[in-house]
Amino acid sequence: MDNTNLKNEFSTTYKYGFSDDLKPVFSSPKGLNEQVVTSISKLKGEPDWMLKRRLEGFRSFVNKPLPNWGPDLSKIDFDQMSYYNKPSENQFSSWEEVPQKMKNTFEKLGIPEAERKFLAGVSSQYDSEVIYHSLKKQLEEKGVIFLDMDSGLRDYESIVKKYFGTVVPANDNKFASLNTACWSGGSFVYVPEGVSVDIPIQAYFRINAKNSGQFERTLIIADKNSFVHYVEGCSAPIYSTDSLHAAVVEIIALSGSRVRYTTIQNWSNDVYNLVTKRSKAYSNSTVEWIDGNIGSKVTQKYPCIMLMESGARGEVISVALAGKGQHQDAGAKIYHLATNTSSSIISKSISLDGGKTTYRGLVNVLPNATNVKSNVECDALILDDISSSDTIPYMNIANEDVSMSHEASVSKLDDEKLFYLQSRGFSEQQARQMLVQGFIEPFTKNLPMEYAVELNRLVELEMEGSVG
Amino acid sequence: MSNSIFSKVNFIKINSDNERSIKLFDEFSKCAFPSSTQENYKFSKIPSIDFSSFSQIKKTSEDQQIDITNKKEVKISNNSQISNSLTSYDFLSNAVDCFSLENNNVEINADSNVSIVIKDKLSYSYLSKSTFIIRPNSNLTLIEYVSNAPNKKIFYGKKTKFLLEEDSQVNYIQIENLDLGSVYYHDLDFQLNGQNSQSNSFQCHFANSISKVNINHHLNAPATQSINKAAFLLDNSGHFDLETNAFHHSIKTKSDIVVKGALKNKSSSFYKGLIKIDKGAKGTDSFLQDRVIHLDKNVSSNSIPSLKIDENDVRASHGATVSKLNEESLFYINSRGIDKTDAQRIVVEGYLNEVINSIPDKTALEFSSNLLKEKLQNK
Repeated sequence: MDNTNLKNEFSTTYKYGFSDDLKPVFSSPKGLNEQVVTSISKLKGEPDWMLKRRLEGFRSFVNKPLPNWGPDLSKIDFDQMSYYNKPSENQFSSWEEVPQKMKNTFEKLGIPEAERKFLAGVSSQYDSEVIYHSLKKQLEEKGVIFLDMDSGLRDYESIVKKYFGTVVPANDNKFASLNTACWSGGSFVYVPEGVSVDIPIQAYFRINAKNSGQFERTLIIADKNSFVHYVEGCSAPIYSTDSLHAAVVEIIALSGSRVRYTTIQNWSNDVYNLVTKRSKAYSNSTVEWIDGNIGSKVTQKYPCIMLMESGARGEVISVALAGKGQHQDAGAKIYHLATNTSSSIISKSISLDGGKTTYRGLVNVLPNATNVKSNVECDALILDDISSSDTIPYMNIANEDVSMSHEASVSKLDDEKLFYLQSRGFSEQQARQMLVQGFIEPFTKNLPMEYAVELNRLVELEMEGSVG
Repeated sequence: MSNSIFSKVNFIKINSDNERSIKLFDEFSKCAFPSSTQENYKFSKIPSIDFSSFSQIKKTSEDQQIDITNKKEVKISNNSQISNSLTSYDFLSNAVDCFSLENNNVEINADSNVSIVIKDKLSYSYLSKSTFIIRPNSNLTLIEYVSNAPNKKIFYGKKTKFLLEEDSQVNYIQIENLDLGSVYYHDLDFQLNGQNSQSNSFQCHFANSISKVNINHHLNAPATQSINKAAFLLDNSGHFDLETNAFHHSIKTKSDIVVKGALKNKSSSFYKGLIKIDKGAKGTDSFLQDRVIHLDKNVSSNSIPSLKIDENDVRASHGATVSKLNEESLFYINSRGIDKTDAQRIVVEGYLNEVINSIPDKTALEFSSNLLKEKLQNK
């Protein structure tokens, strides 16, 4: 199928534009107050300590002002949102039990095939709760826990209680507080000591009910010397009013472990995507955030790695693509809290059709963190003369024994390269697409194969008709 | 505020005692003192300064020595009028507006070549403002040496503006050497209004003072060019706070900013550098680099190089590094029989000389190179 057909296949404004008229079984009243928070917690049958956390988060949410830097968030109307939707009564143990209507939606996203072929388990978030959950036997045998967060809290309360909110506290920032108050869904992953999960585990998230904020809460714990690769892909149908997505992801990488977290975020162009992602890396562990931002109206996302103990390593690789009316304000934060720690940030951004990309990053080296190495590279590509790009990196270094470097560049597509490709028989459109795909290659080569294919396809679609 | 050098008594002494100036002082006294909650002072040592212990604001004739070549091409007029209201949110900038002893307009005639050398060795706090108008096809070299008389704690505040007309050029060289405890503030504004005008600006800060330097380059006309190179070596608890902005408002403009520094002892630095390219500023070429070497354990540096680009037909990039001395270079020099302290000195000297050697005036080049040598000896 060529691109034009593919584009026609999907809606004109949003490539996965479909939304079915499924009625939630339960939908909380619009707006947020202590009562709503309490009723969400009661409905889920949560322990008291969790309700306390939620209320703590709610109070902090109310008291904190909207951030006065970055993109304009003043259009978010917190009172017009419903904070919890329960799509249907029960979870399904097998694919057959999932209602046909939901299956159709998943079908359009191409989940089942992907699942059968490659993937360890799929937990698809439909509205605010996970309705379908499968986990391959081999994972269970290894003792790996992969559940939605609600079930995780129910079945493994002690682990959740020990780690929940230790990386992102309830009063961290306005949107993390909001998430703490009304979180629902998300994934809970625990990998036991010495276990290496060979195939990526992944969850598809999906928001469907109009105006429903999505507040997934993901908690990943990698015990000593373990390895896990978690993949999260997001896709949302068309909305007429602004929608909010404020997820929190916490990763705890205990000594010697390695965690890789991959996201491709492709919300429709009216979603505010305000996500707090943070991880703690203990001795000799590695945390990698692979982060792709394509959709949404406004994205503010700065995956953070706190290098807590000697030998920890952090890596953030991100790609942002901003088209018409979009502002991708993304970046990375690294805190070097211990000696012999190293980090690397690679950020690639592309703006076109009047879109705006911002890299906002921080590398912080504390006074006692010696022998620290850090490298930051930011490249921005501006494809036409109505788009723009900002780069704002912060470097706070309070130590002598550091090697820190930062490079950033902004440019357009190289005319000479375009000319060369065209002289070899490619059309201008093809040549431009090839150069852009080459530009983001450091990112795509880190993705699982089917995601890399999907990403390249999405970039092609975004660039369709943008010759100029 | 009443016992600081920015008191009402001082204000009246410097300015007249009429209704308008009192109104200005009232406005100034409401202006917020630098605080670490302000974005500009977040990483700066300036909020901790106690201005009450400073030497009075005064000017004596033996403090300053000015040499002007080609004097007949220079017109100096005094602008005694004080401004009606404050123009900035920044305390230090407003302080210079309110307490400056001089407000000069200096005009350089067209088709002339002028050099002005100012040597300040001050025993009192001194604040001044000046505007240089550089007429078409002329060339101004302005060199400023700033130091203080022994054991005097002074505040040196200055605002300098350059208005460049067609095909004109300015070479501005600033060599600061104030002692520990003194404060240096300089706001530099380069307005490149005429086609093909060019500004070359060099700052050498080999001092122990607390310094804040703001430099704005406004590239307003086509094919204008600005170069800014700064070198600093700080010791004790010295602090250098530098902000450079390159605003590309027109087509085919070029800017190159280089900042190189070395920190000893408990010194610290803060650098904020912005490249802003307006929509329509096609063919812009802008580069910024910031390199800091940490020589001791207790130093700290903060750096925020940013890019704001609204045009795609441009080349803009920045690079920033922070590191300790290169072990390999040290080892190499060491292996040639030179001891470690000397080796360190040689490497730092070579590193900062890259900036010093590009100073276009021979006397200033030698002076700053010797000053650097001297500062490196005091280990």
